[in-house]
Amino acid sequence: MTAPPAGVAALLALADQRLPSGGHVHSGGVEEAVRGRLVTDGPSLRAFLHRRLLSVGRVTAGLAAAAVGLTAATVARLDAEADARTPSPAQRAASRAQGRGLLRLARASWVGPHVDLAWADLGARPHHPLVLGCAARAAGLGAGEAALVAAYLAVTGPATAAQRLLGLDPVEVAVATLDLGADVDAVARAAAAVAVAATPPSGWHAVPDDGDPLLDLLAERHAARGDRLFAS
Amino acid sequence: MRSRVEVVADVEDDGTPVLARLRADGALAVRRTGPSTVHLVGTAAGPLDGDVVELDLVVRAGARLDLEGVAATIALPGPGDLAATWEVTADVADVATLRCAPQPIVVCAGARLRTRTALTLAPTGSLDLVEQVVLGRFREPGGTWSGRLVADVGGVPVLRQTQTSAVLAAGPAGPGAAAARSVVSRLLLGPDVPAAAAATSGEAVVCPLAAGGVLLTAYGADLATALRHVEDLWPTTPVAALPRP
Repeated sequence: MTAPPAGVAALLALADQRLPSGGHVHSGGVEEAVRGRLVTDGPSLRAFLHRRLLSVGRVTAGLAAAAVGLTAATVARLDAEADARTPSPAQRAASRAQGRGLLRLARASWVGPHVDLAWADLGARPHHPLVLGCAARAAGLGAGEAALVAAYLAVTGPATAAQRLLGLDPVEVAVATLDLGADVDAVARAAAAVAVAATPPSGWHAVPDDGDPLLDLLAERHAARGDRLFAS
Repeated sequence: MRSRVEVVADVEDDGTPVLARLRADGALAVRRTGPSTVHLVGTAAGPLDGDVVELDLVVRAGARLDLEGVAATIALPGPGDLAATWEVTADVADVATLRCAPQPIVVCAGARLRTRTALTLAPTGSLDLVEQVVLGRFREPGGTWSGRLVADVGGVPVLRQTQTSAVLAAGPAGPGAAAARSVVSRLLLGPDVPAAAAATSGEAVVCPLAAGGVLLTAYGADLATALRHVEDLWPTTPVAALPRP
C-alpha cells in the first residue's frame, strides 16, 4: 500500500480549486454582489475579497486550526461553535455542503484524521473548516497550515466565481488574489495562534468570530432567488 | 473612569417583581421606572477612550427585567492608548425574561470603543436585546468600533459575532451606496420566539440561528432607516409586549 498523502504537497492539494470537493459551485456571496453591481471589475472584486477575508476568512481559519486538535468528544462542541459564528442559514448550508464534499474526498485519501477521531465521528454534513482541519491533521500538517488553507480558500473560491460571472481577465483576478497574499498570511497566523492557545472545548469561545452583515444579507438574498447559477 | 451598574431582578412568591439589587457608580445612574423596568441615565460625558463601563444584569428564575436608556451614549476620544470598553454581562435564569434596549451608542470621530455583550441563558430563559451603534455624529466620520455579541443557552453556544467599523468600511461601495454608518442588531432567544424563515428587507436580514432564536441585523447610512427595516422584518416582539406582572 502506498503512503497516504502528506506534507506540503497535501497542503497545496487542499488549497487547490481543482480538488473535487464541490467548492466550484459556491461563489461565497460574489454572485449576489455581482447582481447588485457591488462587484463589477478587478478593483471592486479585490475590495470584496479583502472584506470577505476579514470576516469569513478569519472565522474559517480559526475553526480549521481548532479542528486540527479535534477529538471524538469535542466534535459536537466545535460544530456548535461554527454554527454560532454563522448566523445566516444559507451560509451554514453552504459550509456544510462543502464540508460533505471534502469529507468524501478525505475518506478516500486518509484512513482517518488521527487515532482519537474517525471520519464517521464528524457526521454526514460537517462544516467545511472542521473537515479541512481534520484533513490537514491526517496529512501531518499543523494548525497554522490548516488556517492558511481556510483563509486562502475564503478568497480564491469567490475570486474564481467572479472571473466566471464577469468574464474578467484571469490575470487581473490572479493579481487581485496574489495582492491579498500578505493579508491571507496575517489572518491565518493570528487565527491559528488563538486557536492553538485555546483549551478545548470551553476555550473555543475565543476563536475568531468576525461577522459581516453584508455577507449575511447577500447570502440570504441569493438563497431566495430561483435563477441563480451558484449554490451560494 | 470606571462605571459599574448592577441590577438583579427577582420575583417574590406572590409574583411581585423586586429589584434585589440596583446600584450604579461612575458615569451612570439607574432609575427604577416601573415594576420591572430600569432606565440607564448617563451622568457624565463619555465614555472617553480608556474608560471602562460594566453593566451586570441578573434576572432570577421567573423574573423580568426591562432595561432602557434615556439618551444616546456618546463615545468620545480621550488621552491615552486604550479604547473605551462598554461591557454588558447578563445572566437570565429559567422562565425569566430580559429585555435590554438601551439607546444608541454614537462613536465620534477619533474615539475608540469596544463593546462586549455576553449573555448566558438557562434553557427556558428569554431575551430581547437591541443594540444600536452609530459611527460618527452628523457629518462627522466615525470612530473605531468593535462589538462582540456572545450568547449561550443552557451551555450551548448560540451566537458568537464580532462586528467592526473596519469591516463595515471595507469592501466595494456599490452604485450610489452610502457608507454603513449605523448598525442595528436585535437578538431574540427563548421558548416563545416563533420559528422564522430567513428574510431580507432593504439592508436588513433576519437569520434563524442554528441553536434556536433569531438574529436581526441591519446597517445603513442612517439609524432610522436601519431600524425601520428591522421593524419591517420583525415587528416589536411578543416578548416585549408581555403584560407586566
